[in-house]
Amino acid sequence: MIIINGNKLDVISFINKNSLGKIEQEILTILDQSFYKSEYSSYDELLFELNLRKNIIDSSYELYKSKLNFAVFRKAFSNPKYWNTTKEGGFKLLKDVKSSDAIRDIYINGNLYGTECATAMVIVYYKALLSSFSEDLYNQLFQNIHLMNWHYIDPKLQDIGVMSKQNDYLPGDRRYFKNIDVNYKNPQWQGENVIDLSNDLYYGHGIGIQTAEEIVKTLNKNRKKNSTTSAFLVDMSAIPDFKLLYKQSKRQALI
Amino acid sequence: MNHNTISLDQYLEENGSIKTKYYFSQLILRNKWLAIHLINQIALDFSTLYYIIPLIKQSNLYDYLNPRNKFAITVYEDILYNKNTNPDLDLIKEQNMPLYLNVLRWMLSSSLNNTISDCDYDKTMDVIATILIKEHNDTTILITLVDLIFIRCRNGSFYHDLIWILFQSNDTTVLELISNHLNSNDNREKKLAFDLLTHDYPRIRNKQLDSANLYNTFHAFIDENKNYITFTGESFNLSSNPTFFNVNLDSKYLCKKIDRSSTIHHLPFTINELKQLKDFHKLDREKQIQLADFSNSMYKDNLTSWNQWVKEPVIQQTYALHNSYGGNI
Repeated sequence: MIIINGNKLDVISFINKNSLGKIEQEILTILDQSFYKSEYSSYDELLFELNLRKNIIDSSYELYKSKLNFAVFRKAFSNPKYWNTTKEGGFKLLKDVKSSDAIRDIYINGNLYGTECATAMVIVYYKALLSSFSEDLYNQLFQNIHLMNWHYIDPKLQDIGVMSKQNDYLPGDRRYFKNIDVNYKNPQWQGENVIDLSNDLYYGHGIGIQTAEEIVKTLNKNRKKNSTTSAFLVDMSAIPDFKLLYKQSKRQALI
Repeated sequence: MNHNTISLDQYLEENGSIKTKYYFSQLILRNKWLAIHLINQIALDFSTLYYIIPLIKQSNLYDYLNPRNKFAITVYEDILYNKNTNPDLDLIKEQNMPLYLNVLRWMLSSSLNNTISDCDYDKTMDVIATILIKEHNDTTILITLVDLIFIRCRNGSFYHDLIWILFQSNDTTVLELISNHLNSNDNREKKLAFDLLTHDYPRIRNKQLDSANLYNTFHAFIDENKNYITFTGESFNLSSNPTFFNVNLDSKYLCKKIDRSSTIHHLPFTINELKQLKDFHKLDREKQIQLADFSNSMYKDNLTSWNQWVKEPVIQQTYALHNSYGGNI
């Protein structure tokens, strides 16, 4: 059930009034039919979350097409015009460089970058936020970013690093496929971080856009010899703090 | 041989890797047997051997190496070239498993003596640690592994995979070893130790990095709960704040030690114990923790009383708990 400022939402009217697309409609349907309440202070707040989830999904498709390379942390690389690749394998934004330009560069010049799946997720989120906020506001809020899996995430986005069991799973959620019996020589296959794209499709950097079954098959190919323990989709997800980000979106960018 | 010839380890320490490689390449040309003798010295560190592997191969010296060095190079190449099958390595393991394991330990221990900053070397160390822990349950390397993690932390090198491997050992000793670093003067080390040990168990959940007596608090917590701790398999690949371990409240409440060799962790519960647990599970988590703590404390202080208390209905057990706090819970 969806509650807006104490009142149950009429989902059909809401969809028609706002001309919402298939992804947004699917999200609303899941929430509306859920046993659990999803509460919002206003229609605007709900629209913000729907829009940001759509942008997370779009950013995932775009990153997939960007030719971003897969590289383990030790062999990570980035465009030195915008980033410093740290000893750990993270990308630290250079001083005097705009965060928006640097994030866009990953999408435009993906072939100049190589990283692993968790960091790719963080890139997706920053790009989604760039699409959701004005550029000036985005640069003000996320001016010093450091991309290295779930470390060093901006505090306003830190919830994307925290997995927990949810009442419902929605398109735009971050999910995780776990590979318990991973081949030791390639620990980067111990699991795959993915974005739920809807329709049983997931984006995971290094694997691409695949169904759950295909991702499990890929991970299973990277198990230790004679293993019979299959990889699986973990019953948890991570989502950004949409309410906090909504409040941030209402700020005026300082001139 | 000139008895004044310094070891390759010493030469490396004094002159660095580039000069050592050049020195060794010249030595092969001038005095091949001395070169072989120096490589085969018992005290040689693997990190020294690592630098000159290409020279050994180029100069066809491999056949003159002692078994330890041959095994080490075979293992290294197996990891580096990501071989799915390796008949040479399988043969080594088949013929002399103790030597194979000792060679792996020797290779890993070298990582503490040197500050090699090299992807392939670090990867080799990570894989060796995994083999020793996952395939051979070798807990003798835990101290080395913990030290290596904190060395890499200080150096700003990648250590996440090593942490994953460390907790795969399923050994609570690692928590004690990590807690030692809470006393470190290096803030990065201290923070990492804190992040690895932090947990939502009441006694430690509100502790901050700058809390007083951090080491004593965590050490006491680990000591009290080590018989009941299980490891979650979570990692930094999954989450920004993984919970690496949990206290099994059922086991602690019934004072039944976790069996680390078993996947079900403990001896099967009896029918009476299962009945008891059914009511125990009806309590909220905070109450379960309090009751489990109380049970464990009583078990240590007075086994006779505990044997009586643990058979009482849970509701009566909570009265005893309530009274022990002077009615203040």
